[in-house]
Amino acid sequence: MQVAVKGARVSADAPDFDGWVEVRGPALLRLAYTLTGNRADAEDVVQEALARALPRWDRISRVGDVDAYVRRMVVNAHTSWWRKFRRRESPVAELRDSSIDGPGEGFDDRRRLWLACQALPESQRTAVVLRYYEQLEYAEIAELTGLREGSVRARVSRGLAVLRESLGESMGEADE
Amino acid sequence: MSDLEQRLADALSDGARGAPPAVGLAGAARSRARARRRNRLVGAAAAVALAVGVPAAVLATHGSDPEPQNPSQVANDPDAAGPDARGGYHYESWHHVTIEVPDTWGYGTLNQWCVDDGMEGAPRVDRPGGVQTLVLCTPGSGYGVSFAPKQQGGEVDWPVAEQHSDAWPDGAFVGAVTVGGVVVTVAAPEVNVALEVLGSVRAIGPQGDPNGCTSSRGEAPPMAVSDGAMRICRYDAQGLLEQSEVLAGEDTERAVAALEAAPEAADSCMRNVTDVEPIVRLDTSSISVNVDLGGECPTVHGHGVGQDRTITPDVLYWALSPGWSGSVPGDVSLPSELRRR
Repeated sequence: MQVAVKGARVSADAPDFDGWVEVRGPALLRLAYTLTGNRADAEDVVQEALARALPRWDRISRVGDVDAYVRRMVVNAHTSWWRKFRRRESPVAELRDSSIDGPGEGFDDRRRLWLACQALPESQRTAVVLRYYEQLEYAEIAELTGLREGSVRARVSRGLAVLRESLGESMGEADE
Repeated sequence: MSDLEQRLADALSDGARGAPPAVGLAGAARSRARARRRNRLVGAAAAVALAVGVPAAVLATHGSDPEPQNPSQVANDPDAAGPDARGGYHYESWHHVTIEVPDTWGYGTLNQWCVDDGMEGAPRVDRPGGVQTLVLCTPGSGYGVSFAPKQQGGEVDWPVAEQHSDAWPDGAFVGAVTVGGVVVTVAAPEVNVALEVLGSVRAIGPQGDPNGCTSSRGEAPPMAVSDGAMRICRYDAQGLLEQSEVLAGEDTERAVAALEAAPEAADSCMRNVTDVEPIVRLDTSSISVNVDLGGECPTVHGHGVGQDRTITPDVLYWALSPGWSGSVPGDVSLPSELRRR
């Protein structure tokens, strides 16, 4: 999911804010939506991160990896309390925002996995999304989240275990 | 990548297609940044008011309003304090107030957060007094909670607000409230923690704080201590509560053993009963002693240990609750390390 910022840079080292957002905004929203499972929250998270980035864009735009920097801001915004608080208010409605819709081979499995992933505890879900959606290495996730690599591995492992269990239960019920 | 991992990656990629369209993102971010800037200016004024002292903060908030706002009214309700802290939290008391703070918070002064004390800037509980290093940190204060006596001029009742200034870590959520003549200021990286800690401030009533310690050593002994527990109430030279704690299980056994192992004190020391010195009161179901930390008679004395005993490093190890910082009489030796938890 690493999208190059082609065309968004006004120079080799300093991408223009508007241009960068135009190119990277969709990917940030997809990440936020995968983290939150809710379109409104995804927009809120990304806008919050960008609003925080904007006043210091001159400095941010000169860091080595602008994408990683802003992605960290999105993840931080997601993990902020008010986001979690809002999630508790309407968890069912959020799950219904899923766009995995329509018939097709693997549809049921993907939908179950998506919903099961959204039901993970926030810390596990974040680690799982960064690992399997953003395709980041454990070390990269550790750097992004400020956790030790071992903690990241543990969260991903626990998340996968929960997903396996969830799918097993679902399939078991379906079999009956 | 296992089959499940691959299917998971596919499911997340498919699901991500449901994200909202990126229309007007930059413009929306600009609007929000402008709103944040307006809030930041208000927040900076709040930080300055807190930094320059209580009277200024009071004038800026409530002026001459003598009635505290709702948080203080709730906080003064002694019945509102439950006997048990919520999970992951514990009680910290100072003078006439008690609060709940996360177990992960340490001890130390907020304006010394940058000093290498092994806490790496973690939130801490800050009591007035104690030892300070001559170091100026930027920002001026770190995360944690601080107690301070209310100054003349009124009470601080400062709602939790996000701060962006040199006074606090950028983005810290800071609030303050005055209860029982004590200003409690909380700074936390997450707003819910700041709200929870600040909302837990309670005045200590006649029955004592949740650990069973009264706010003044002159008050009647509070409730009995349960079997297997030891209540530790530390009082300052003015006789006001500095810190409270309850030991349990093996810790209690070791603390009692330290008291019983302390040698008997010499008979030559005559205690002036009118003296008020820093003391630590230790109570179990069968022992009730004071550890005198000042004056002419630095001894352990009371009921359940026979004659007065000398203060040994082992006794101090248990009597001085985590975070203690100060001095002891010259002929008393501190333990090689102080209790951290």
